[in-house]
Amino acid sequence: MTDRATFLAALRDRMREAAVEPRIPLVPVDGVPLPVFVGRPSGVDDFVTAWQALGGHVQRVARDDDVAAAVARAVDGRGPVAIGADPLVRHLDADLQWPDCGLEALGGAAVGVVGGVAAVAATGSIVVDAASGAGRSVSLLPDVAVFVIREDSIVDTPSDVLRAHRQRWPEGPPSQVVLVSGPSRSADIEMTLTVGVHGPGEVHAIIVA
Amino acid sequence: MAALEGLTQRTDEALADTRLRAAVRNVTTGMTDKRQNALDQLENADELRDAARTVRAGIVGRLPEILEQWSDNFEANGGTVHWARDADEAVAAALAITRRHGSQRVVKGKSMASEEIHLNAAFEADGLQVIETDLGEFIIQLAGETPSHLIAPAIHKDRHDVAELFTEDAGQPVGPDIQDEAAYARRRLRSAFIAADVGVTGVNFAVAETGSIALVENEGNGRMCTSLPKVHIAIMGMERIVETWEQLDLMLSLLARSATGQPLTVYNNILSGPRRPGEADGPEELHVIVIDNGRSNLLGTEFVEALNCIRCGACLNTCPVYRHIGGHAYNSVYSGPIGAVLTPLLHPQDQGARDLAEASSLCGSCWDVCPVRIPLHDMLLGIRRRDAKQDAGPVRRLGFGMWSRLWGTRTGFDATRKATPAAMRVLGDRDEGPGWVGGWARGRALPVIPSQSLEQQLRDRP
Repeated sequence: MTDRATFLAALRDRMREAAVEPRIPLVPVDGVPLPVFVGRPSGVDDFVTAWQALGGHVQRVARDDDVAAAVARAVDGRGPVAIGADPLVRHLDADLQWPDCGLEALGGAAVGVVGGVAAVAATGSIVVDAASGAGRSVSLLPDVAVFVIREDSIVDTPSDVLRAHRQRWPEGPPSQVVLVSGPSRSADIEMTLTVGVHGPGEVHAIIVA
Repeated sequence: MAALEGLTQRTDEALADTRLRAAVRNVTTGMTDKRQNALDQLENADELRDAARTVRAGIVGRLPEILEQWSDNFEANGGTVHWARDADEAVAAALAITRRHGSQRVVKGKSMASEEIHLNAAFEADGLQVIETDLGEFIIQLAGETPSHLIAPAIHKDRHDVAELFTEDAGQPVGPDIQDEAAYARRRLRSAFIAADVGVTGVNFAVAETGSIALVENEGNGRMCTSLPKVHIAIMGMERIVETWEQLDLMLSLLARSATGQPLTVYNNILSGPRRPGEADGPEELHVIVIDNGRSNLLGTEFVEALNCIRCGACLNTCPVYRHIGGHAYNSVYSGPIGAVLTPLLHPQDQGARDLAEASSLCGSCWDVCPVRIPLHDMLLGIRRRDAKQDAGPVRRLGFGMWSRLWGTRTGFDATRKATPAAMRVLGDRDEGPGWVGGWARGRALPVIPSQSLEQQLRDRP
């Protein structure tokens, strides 16, 4: 086995001579330019448009107290319902509480409900953070995923999430951050879109004003 | 010339396969259109691509320091880094982990780096059960084949091929309906995810400043592989790294758009170490195996920019050669223009790999679509130039040497110019000749050269 010093020394060896100038010159850049979206999407309405365009469902509610009823509408009688341990949803009634219920039980759940820490208007993405208590699996294994987000956590573009990582996670990012943009999909057979290949095929966003 | 036989034969076979050609055409055309639409949603896509090229070049130019910073931070997050100079070391590192855990079942997300080191075969030889979980990869695993496209590995299969494979796997009929086929894969693989003790994936980008790795995917199998098993092993090409989240943002803004025409893939996973105290789930161990495997051959050479590649596959979709023959005719892990450049550089001893640089019309379309603007056409020419110099025998050296000397003088150049019209009249537009001359002449017509040169006409002008 090679240790790090030996591995990197081999690279440095190759790089010792002056770098070959590219025949087609590089364009000098000052910092890292921001992607600029046509139409400058922003705010809850643009998030809703983008999320729905991806095939997601949306409910907007005025108060925290309305979340339970909105979740019930999304669940629509299906079950069992599993719930994450994050502050946005953990007080809700559910059949299964993750992680206490265990993986086998979660594997049998029809619906998973978690809170998202942010959302992105331009791309219709919801940010789930493993450290929030939402965990990795509740929004992944069941056929239906329900995300509860706060309207004031909606930012404009992915850059607003990624470039602000130090503000959001001053101690460093949690072990997993995932941007979820719509239902699980695949086009691996003949480029034909299929949803719900491994992750949830039905996704709901409940936006609390 | 004899060395090209393998490539020529594979090309002929691919061209004769009308079903394959229709499938490849369908996919490459669709992806090319979607890519353009997705880039048009950004006001400054071209500016971003120029910047991405410069940023990637800067990273590769300081690769050792950046890898050092990343691995310090990644290990501080509780992860383990293994360094592998070649495929054997990478496989040994992976097997050491699975053996220590007594692992039996591996679920795999799509990873070209793992294809490069032939990890599945090594795991299976060690008694492990390995299941590919990306839908396309699962299909070709059942077929016993290799990926034919960077991001859509099974594009050479249609729904009927898939139905046959799934029917055999299920032991009962699965019809040629794409939704039914996807549903079968979901059911079939779900139990594998729950039972697996190791998840294996690739890495799209490591991020040095926080010791993270980013993984993009659409199906959720990557999330499964990195969330459910107790151990996650990621195989990473040593150049797949950025320094900052700003750079990650830039690369992610281009990767999915160039690959599938999505603004972002459905799941963008950013992983920074194994599960932490207080987190509900996640792997107990996270290992990254960093592989060189020939990549350092490119450092300090005119081909170094090939290491900037972010593996989107756009150059495959646009390439007139790839669009006609698909990926398998290349007979290498990486196909298309990037494969034709990378393969001979990663494996300089492999004669078959060197021939891949011939599989190009040098039209430059690959360069035109590349999100990090790698001058792939220029590199293909560079590889041909290098090989021609190395391979030239005494006759060729003598011939080109004489030509060079002849045209190096005014009188020599004028003499050949004056002789050309007469020579052309003799050669005419023949369709045959000895050996490769005949092969070249067939279907080509030599131009008719006027008896008076442009220079002479200008001189004679009143």
